[in-house]
Amino acid sequence: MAVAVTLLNSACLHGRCSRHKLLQPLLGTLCAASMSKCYSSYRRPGSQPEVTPSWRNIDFSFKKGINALKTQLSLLKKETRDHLIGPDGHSFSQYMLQQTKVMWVFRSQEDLNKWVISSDVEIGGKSEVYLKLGRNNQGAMLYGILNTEVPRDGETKYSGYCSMRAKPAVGSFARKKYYDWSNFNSLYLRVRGDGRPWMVNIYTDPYFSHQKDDLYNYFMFTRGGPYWEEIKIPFSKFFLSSRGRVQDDQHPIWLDKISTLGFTLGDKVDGPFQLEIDFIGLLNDRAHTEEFAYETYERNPRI
Amino acid sequence: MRLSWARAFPLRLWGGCRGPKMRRVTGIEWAARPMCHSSSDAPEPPSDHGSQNTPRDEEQGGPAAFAAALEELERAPGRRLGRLELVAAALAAMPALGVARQLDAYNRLLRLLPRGPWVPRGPLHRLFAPFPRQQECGLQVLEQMERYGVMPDAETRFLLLAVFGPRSRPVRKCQRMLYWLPRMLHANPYPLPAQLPPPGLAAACLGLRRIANDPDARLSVYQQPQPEQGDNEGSTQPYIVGIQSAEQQELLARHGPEHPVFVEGPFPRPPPPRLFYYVLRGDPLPPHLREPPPDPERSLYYPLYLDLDLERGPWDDDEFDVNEVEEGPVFALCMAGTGDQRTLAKWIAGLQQTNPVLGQTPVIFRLGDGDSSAGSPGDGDALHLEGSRAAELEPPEVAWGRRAQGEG
Repeated sequence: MAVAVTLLNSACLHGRCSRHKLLQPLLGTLCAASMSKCYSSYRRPGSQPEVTPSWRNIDFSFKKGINALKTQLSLLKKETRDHLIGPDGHSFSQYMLQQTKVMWVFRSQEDLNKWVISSDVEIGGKSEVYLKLGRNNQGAMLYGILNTEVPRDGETKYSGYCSMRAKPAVGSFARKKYYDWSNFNSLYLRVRGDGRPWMVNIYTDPYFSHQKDDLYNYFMFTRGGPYWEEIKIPFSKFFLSSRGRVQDDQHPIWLDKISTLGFTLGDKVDGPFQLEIDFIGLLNDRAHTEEFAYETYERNPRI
Repeated sequence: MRLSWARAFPLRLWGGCRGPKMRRVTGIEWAARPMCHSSSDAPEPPSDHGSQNTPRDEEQGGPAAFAAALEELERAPGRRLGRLELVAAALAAMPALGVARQLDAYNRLLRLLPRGPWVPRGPLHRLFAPFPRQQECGLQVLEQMERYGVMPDAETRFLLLAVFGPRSRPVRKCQRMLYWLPRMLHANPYPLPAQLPPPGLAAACLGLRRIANDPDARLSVYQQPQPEQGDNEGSTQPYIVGIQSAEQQELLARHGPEHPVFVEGPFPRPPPPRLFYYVLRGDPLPPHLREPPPDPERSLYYPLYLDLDLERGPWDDDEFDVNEVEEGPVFALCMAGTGDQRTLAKWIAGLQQTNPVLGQTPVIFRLGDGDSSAGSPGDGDALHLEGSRAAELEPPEVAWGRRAQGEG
């Protein structure tokens, strides 16, 4: 069943390109342009399929390779030191007892570089989206113009979405790192929207490749106005969808291997939009006891 | 009527749509469209009847035209071919005619489909995914209902069961919609009313009520639009409507005349109606000028400041280890027909009636930086304009000097 947002999840970082896995750490800095292409498996109707082998895009430079190796080794050293202190570099008691955690905060350009923005320009639409720091370098502002005009390629039926997605955490030598949110049960967002409904997507990089389009979604309704809003979304409310279609078999999200978080806007209303985000955190709300908001029994039984 | 399989087999191989070469359009011509259309412009409804052209009255607009077209079809169903194209054309026309949110229109459309011939006969038939285009047509109807937030009801489900059979994709989709739509359609804690007022004063009042945090806030109309109603509402004189709560009034009174207040805007409030609001706010006070919290030893018999949160215990810590974005207090909000300084100055003059301290406070207009593209409040020199009401404001040099001192 189609979700209100359009079918394709933009800037999908869920594709895998195994060929790149080994080469990527050293040559990651050299082939930045091909990153987005190797993550998305969408090909625009009418465009030619990619025939150039991916190694052609890489610039084989010895000096750059040595520099990259140095950075990766220093990252590895830092990781080892952090591992000796405790999970994620914090002490074990802090990891076990913490009830709040700040995941993403927007105070500088580096914090903005951890996010990727995209819009339906990838499928041929006309929406625009931009990300910049807010006033006083406090908070990020995601703004742009949504345009629901459908691209005329014969296949697309809906259009008009913009999204912002966090880059997955990367360890030394381009290994994937996952966030462990099992101590928390709510997502805490301090945002100032303009009244539009957004959708929050969580991607847990799953083990099986046929689940690679699975996303857990829920809505974030902003009120608009000059006041900052503190929105708490419990993880029990997130429902499972795959390629934009809500699935029949629902299960609560597994919080121990979270890869990325994203915000999407696709509320079918043309016009400018604006969302200011102060920080994104996690909260262990002791008053929230719900395990899962949707029924898990067979809801489409054989008649 | 269902034929026995022996007679049905040569006639309808898998029951697929015959294709354009078999369509001999004789008495009835439809303004048909291909099934996988993606155009956004709405075609005319199938209204070109050949010999059965009856005059329809379209004085009441789109819904009446659609209803009339459906009645015509119900009266004389015509040939069995071209039904899928008919449904696709009707679905494409519904948004333009304004019936996309009416369940009745969808039910009547589904009633035009035949009941029985598209039901697979037996498990062997079902194995081969029969009637794919027909089922996609049913799915298109349901998808459009879902897009416009229309809940299917028992009649829809009954019709789908009759047309497609119990284990078909449209019936499954209907089941899913009946499960998910009640959750998703009513999840918004700030829903817009079903009937939005036309853009103008009424929409501004609605918008301000939604933005203001306080249900007790007082909404005041400082200027009525001239002319008052109609399409060109406010063309001669724009409306000005403001909102302020008692707390904000108190805060403004305590803010003191030595610190200036800023009128900032326009900030967007887009989802229909499209509105902009302006804010009267002050700078956050530097830490040494803020009031300290009340000393608990001032009163030993009862607490002056009570913060009971009985759901939480002392072991619960909900504070985040981050310095939140700090902004100055908001004193009042306003929406106006035009965003120029004179209109907003009238708003300030109206606010002064209830907040006499505004008479001595310098008011600085920072218009045009609604997207917070200004730098810090201290160095917004290039952008703000001094208030033009010289009678109430201090001379600019004094205001600059005071601001420089007040920044801290």
